[in-house]
Amino acid sequence: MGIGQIRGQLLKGTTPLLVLRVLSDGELYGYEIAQRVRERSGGAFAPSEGSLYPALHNLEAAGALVATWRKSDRGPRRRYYRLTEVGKGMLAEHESAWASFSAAMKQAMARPDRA
Amino acid sequence: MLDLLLLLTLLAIAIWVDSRIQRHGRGAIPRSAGADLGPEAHEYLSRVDAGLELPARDREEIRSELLDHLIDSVAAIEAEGLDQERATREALARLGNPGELARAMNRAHRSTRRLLAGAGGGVFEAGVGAVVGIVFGWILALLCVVVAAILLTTILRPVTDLAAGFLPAFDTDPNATGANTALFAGVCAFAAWMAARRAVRTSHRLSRWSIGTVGRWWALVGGGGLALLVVFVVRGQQTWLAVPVELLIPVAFAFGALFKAHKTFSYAVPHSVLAIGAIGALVLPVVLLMGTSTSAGSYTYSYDSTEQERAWDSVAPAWGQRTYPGIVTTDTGVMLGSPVFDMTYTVEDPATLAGFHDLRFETWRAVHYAGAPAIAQEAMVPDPAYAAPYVTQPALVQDGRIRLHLDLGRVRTTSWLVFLTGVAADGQRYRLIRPEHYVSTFDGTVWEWLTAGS
Repeated sequence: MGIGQIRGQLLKGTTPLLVLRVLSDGELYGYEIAQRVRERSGGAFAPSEGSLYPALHNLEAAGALVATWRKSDRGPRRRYYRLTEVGKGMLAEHESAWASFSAAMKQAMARPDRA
Repeated sequence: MLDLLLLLTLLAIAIWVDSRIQRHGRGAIPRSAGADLGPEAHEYLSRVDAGLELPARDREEIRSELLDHLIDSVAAIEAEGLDQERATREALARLGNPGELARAMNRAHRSTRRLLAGAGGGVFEAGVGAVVGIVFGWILALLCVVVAAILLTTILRPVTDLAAGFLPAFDTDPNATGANTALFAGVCAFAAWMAARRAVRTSHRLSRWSIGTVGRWWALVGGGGLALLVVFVVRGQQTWLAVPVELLIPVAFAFGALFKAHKTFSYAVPHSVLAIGAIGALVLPVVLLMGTSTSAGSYTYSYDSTEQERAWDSVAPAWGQRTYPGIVTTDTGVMLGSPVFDMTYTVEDPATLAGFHDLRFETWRAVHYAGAPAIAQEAMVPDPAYAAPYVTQPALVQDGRIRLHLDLGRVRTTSWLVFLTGVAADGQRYRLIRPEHYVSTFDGTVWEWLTAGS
């Protein structure tokens, strides 16, 4: 398994958390969300664009996001996403779960002190 | 036959009206948007669209969103130094396989909340569709009846007169109530068709489940539920004319749902199955009606006094050269349209009955006969298919009166001839009163009708 595949496996399931986190800063549209995630992670996390839109629509169906269509100056209408109160609660839960998960992973992955 | 033509006309109009409604509101997104992207991008979007099993509005929105994404993505990649063709290819590669993207979008659009909304909305819309269908159906039915009546009595008169000699007679039920039930059932079948289509459309739109799945579920659950309701629960006046039309209600609902699903997506049910089912559903009432017109052919001969007398005499010859003794019928609450009849006969001259014994009322199944003898009422004669009366009851003279209480129970036959008979000194049984013609109705469910005696 290559490093890319390992990264892909690790990223699996984190897309909703990343999307919610990015949208907590304000209203964004699809392409912007992908760019913002990439920027915030210093290019380390780049959610697959093919999985970004299903994740956005899934969160919208769950009531975490609300979408609004607005006119765009360079093409078709643009769909902006905004976090709802449900989404904010979901983000808090995800963050808490992720914090305990990453702490546990860090502890599990730590090399035992041989000294 | 008229109600069948009426139903066919109503169904055709419903399909046409619905197809007109469906054409509205499509193509909300201008196709000129993203025209500079090149055919590869549009081909990709079309492949995504083909895999989506979502309402048209959702599909348009997804297409628009992905198009917007591609415009941004291609521009960004071009800024990195790639030409447009390679940039487009790279942007499409980042979006991944269009089929997988479509499947993921289908899954993303479905949630328990939307499923419940789809079910609830579908039920509500079915109710609205039923009300609209009943109102619209009645208006159409009345218009069709008026138009048919005008045509049949004017332009088509020579044709109907000519055809009358060849067509089987469907006049098995002279009771107008049965025709009304059939007409109302026909309107309900039309309403069921409308309700199913609206329910499928709304459930599909709200739940985001594929219209094929939604259509099949509505056909199964709605059609099945209506079938149970129509056959076992709804009570009414049943006739051979009304029952097949009533059975058409769940069939119309199921086919309405399947047709609605089938028109948009071409995988629900093959066209041939739908066509055979629809033809079967429409032909069934005719077959059933033809099957019930057992006695219609027996009365096509012209009036013949000898045969007529023989028919009557096979029941019981009139006593005293077709004159009756002094017995007067007094109406004491005869209920037309009920299986229970009460009648009191006043014996004005008791001496006239002195020569008879074993007095009894005989109730015979009656059929319509245009050339019926003058002694019968309403051109009815005893049905020659039966050699014995349906029921006999002893008649007792008390205080110069004879009371008849007749309970026909649940029997499909609707026309009856009732008369008093008695055995004279010569050992022969004679009719002693003018035959009374009663019309009964069958009040009950379709199931009770189907399992009742004939």
